[in-house]
Amino acid sequence: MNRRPICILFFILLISAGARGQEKISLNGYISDMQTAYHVPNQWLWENSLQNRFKLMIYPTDWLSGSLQFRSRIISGNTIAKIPGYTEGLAGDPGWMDLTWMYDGNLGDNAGYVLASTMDRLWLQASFGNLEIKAGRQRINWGQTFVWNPNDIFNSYSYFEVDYPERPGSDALRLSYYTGNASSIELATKIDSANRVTAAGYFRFNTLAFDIQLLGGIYQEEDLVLGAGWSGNIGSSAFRGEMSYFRDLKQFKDTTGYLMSSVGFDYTFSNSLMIQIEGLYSAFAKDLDIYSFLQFYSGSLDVKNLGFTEWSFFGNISYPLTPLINGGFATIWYPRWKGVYLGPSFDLSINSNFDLSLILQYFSAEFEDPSGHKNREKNTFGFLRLKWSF
Amino acid sequence: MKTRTKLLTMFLLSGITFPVLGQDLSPKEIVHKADEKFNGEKTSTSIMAMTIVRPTWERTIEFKNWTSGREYALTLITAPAKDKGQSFLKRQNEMWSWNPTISRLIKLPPSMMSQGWMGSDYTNDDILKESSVVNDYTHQIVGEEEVDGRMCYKIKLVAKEDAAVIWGHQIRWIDKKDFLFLKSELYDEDGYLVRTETGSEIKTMDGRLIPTRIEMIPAEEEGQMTIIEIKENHFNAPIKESFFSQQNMKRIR
Repeated sequence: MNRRPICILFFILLISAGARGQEKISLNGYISDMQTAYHVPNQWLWENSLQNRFKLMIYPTDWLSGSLQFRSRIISGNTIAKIPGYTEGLAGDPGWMDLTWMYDGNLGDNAGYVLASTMDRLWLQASFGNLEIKAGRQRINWGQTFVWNPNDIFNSYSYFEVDYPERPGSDALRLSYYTGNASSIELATKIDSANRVTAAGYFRFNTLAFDIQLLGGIYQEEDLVLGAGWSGNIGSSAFRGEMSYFRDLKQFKDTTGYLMSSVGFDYTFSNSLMIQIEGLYSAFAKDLDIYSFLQFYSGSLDVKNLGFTEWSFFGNISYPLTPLINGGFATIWYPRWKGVYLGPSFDLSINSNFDLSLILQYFSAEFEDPSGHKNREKNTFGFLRLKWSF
Repeated sequence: MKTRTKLLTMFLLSGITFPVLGQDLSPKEIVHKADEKFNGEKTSTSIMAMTIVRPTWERTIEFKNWTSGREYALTLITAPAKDKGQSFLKRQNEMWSWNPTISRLIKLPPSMMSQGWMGSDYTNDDILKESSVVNDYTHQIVGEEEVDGRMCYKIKLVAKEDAAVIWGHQIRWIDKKDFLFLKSELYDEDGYLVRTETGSEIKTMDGRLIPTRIEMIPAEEEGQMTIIEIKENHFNAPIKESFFSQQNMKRIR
């Protein structure tokens, strides 16, 4: 089914509604160029990605707002030829509406470059006092912790993706009712490209200086999901956590369900040095058959696959070396794999609108192949990005 | 008749105001008056630009700020482009940030309070007005001095022992006629000067005379300062407490 006509109609509505006054529109975004080098077992891969993000916001009336956002990339490099199914991956849209365009000149793996464009936000929001109704492609972010978000059942995405902070949107309908200054109730439902529906209710409130949230619903028509999350502090450090329980609806009586939980602390010293730690437990990881890091390295994730091993532990330090240069060092420990991820990064502010980032990612872990043979896999990725925000 | 009412009103108003302007003001009352004059007795709505000046570079951040007393504050970044739309909410002792790029509401821990706000020499505490120059300090007039041709009270503020403030003591120069903070020196708990603030470009905003340019100069850092320029300021507009909400953090423009 081609859903493009729906979105184009929506687009025309947006533009015509927004075109009435200059101050009722805002246009922002960025253009970035990122050079990537991957050293994976036995080979080097490289890629250049010239990216444009285009973010249109419209405010036709006090109660109505809307957004249209594009992510467009021109990708070149030997990744196109060497990674099987690379161009098809770029052409697929995870949402119910097909708002992704890809051009490779019908050359597939032989293409020298690929154009890929996705409309990853396309929503209208109506607000009536404390009630908000938001329809269309949007991001629903129920996360509380920083690395793994078992409560974020609408938009799970790889932590390792460095060039897509916005993350894809969900084709969803969301009702929010703000019951207080720091509390709300939400009902949200989305449908994905495989026509699977996720629907959930969410209640957020603030008590004893803690933000607490409870959620429950149906995940991808497969599981019952119940979750809870919190953000608060112990002493002056932040204490955050999330837990979700999934139970297969088809085998409800035969199974006990799966628990997933992340808990983390973060603390900022007076000299701006920030430290973060976070741990994840995932009962799903026991059933995962992983033989390489690259399986889950990038792209959209099923929330159930957040944890690659039963336990994962994260640590990060971040420090502004000068107010213009921020340095960070992240690490993840995967005990079952005797595995480690190391991620140093530097961000330099060249001027108000230009930023340069250097990010390295190193993975080393021991995997067992079907014959029981243990093999240590090492991968090193490097990213250099120049970004102009407008 | 109208003129008489006007005169009567003026008389009544001046009757209330003039005695307070007299010499018998306590140092605490002087600080209180200057604080209210600058921050608004009830609420304040302002548009500001903050420029971070370093020996080899400068960065400017523009933002809108809504405050109600010391308890409530909402700040929205309007420039530069990459930070636009980020907002900060303070309700009593709790603080949140909203980042529209990732659609994420983050509850900020108390340890963030002493951090430089957006990389400046101002802390979150300064921007979100956590501590009070009136209630968290004891006050003493230590002299009278001229600053930029205006005669000022020189007042020493010493932090109360139980107050959660980051300064040990402060010296403030407050204009005797118009109650303006024209100069402040902020000292740490060991008595070392940490920074000096000056107020200049005195203009009338919303019918009230205030310094519209604040320069904040750290003592130990050569060639370094943060400048706040107040572009618009409205005082005591009726802003309800419910304005300072998570819903508004996401909606405000």
